[in-house]
Amino acid sequence: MKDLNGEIVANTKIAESLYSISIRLADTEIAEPGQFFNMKMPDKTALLRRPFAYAESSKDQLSFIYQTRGKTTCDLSTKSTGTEVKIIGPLGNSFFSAGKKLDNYKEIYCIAGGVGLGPIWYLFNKLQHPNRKMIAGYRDASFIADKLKDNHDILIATDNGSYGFEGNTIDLLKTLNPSQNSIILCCGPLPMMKAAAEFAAINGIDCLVSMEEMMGCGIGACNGCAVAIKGEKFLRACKEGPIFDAKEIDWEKY
Amino acid sequence: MNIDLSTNIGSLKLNNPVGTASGTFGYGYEYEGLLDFTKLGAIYTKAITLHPRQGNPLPRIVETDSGMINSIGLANVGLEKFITDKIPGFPRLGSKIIVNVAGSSPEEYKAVVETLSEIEQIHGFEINLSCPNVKQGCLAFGTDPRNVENLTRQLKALTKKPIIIKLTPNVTDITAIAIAAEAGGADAVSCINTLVGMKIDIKKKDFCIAMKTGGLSGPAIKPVGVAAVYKVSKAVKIPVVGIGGIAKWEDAVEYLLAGASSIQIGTYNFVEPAIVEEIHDGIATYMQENNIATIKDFHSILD
Repeated sequence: MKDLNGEIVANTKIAESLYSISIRLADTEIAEPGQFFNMKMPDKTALLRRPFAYAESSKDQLSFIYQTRGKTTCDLSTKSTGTEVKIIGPLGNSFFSAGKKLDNYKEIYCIAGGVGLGPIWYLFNKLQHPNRKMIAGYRDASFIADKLKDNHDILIATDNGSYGFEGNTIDLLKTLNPSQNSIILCCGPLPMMKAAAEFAAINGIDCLVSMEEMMGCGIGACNGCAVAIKGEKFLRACKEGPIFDAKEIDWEKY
Repeated sequence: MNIDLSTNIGSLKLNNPVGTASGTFGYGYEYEGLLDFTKLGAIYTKAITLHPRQGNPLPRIVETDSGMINSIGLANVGLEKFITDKIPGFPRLGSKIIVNVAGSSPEEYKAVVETLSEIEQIHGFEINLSCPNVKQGCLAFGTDPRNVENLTRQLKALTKKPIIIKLTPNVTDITAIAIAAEAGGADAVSCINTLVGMKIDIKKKDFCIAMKTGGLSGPAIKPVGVAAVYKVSKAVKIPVVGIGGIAKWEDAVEYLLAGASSIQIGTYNFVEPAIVEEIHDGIATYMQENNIATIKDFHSILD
């Protein structure tokens, strides 16, 4: 594991409040979908590093998608190409290493909401599975990146019906009648992942979720990013996660 | 000129005064590859308790202006797993290992120190009498000078390894606790632990930390730490380990000038793991440029 110097080579708005950043690095390990890196924010705009999930990863470049939610991410959206950052990654487990053999399932449903688009997009593009489907959900059409609209393999749900299916991602998933031998791979806002976990439990389907927590160190040292596990236990989002079997999570704590 | 970076804590000689604070550096292994461990005089481990602890409810951490608040609740693997899983690899790290010990009763502290006292790979103990994040226990204990003196004496009787008492700033007079630790036979005191802090999310109208309050750390608390080290080092003869908000070599030099014999980097390990190297090298350069031959010589510069 190394702390790598990187340089922003693109930082563009892709939809309402959603941005995509590309960072050039000297030489890095290629990340698997679901893994994240911990980035020192440029120009000291925040004290702690921030974790972001890979949306693309190669030996000399990575990209990720972020949403302008607070001061830190709003500051980030103003950073131009050439800005220097520092990155520790890849960190955590991935959708491929979270204990489920994806090839064994008949159907794979990749579900994204909000910034979950980044890792789910990367996952969907890396999956070789013949029966893979991607569902992305948004409040309305303004939040949908163009690259999603152009791709006919991706099903889109909006809460107000302004684009695609009217309803949320789980409502849309229900209409597809997933077979018993399916798996859901999900990254998005907590209520969405909770709904996916509930749907999976009721229908006897496996489900992996990507848990997001505020992190201190990002490398397993501080125990700040704990995730509540059934049986009054905690596991670290940065080390044992961020991808967890939805059945393990103590959803009552969320 | 020839400078000597070494510094002593009781019978223990550290190669240099740079340490990493308990709770911010895990068991050391987490940081392998991110920094040069030969520039690290001592690793202070995550607090070890007699039994494993899962820690506090979520959320546990939040960033504040120039700092952070945490309420981890001493989550750790417990003494048994620490011995079987963590200790064997310590020599590979190449730094001195000081085990931070916590508990909810004097018996627990004693059990941990006694069990570890015969283990070669352990070089000393830092006794956490001042964690603000555990309901039963150590903060209340660490704020009473009589308790501190008694427990220090009992722990000293159990081990030949140096005992450092970690002091909380959440008291009226920190020097009274330091004097009590010295009277009990402590080899050193370290200060400061985190300050009790709170942050409220005004949009959600809720506390940012599940336990409502937590320990404030980071650059925001540095002046509090420097003042505490100055006062404590005037009040006791034993070495003082300076902690609180160190983020660059200049901060470490401030602590040394204030009276610290060594320092610990805490929150900034999260931001910049290699800061250990910068601080080590920065202290050495400062000593060269200012004709300071030894760490002790820092202490005769200011009144």
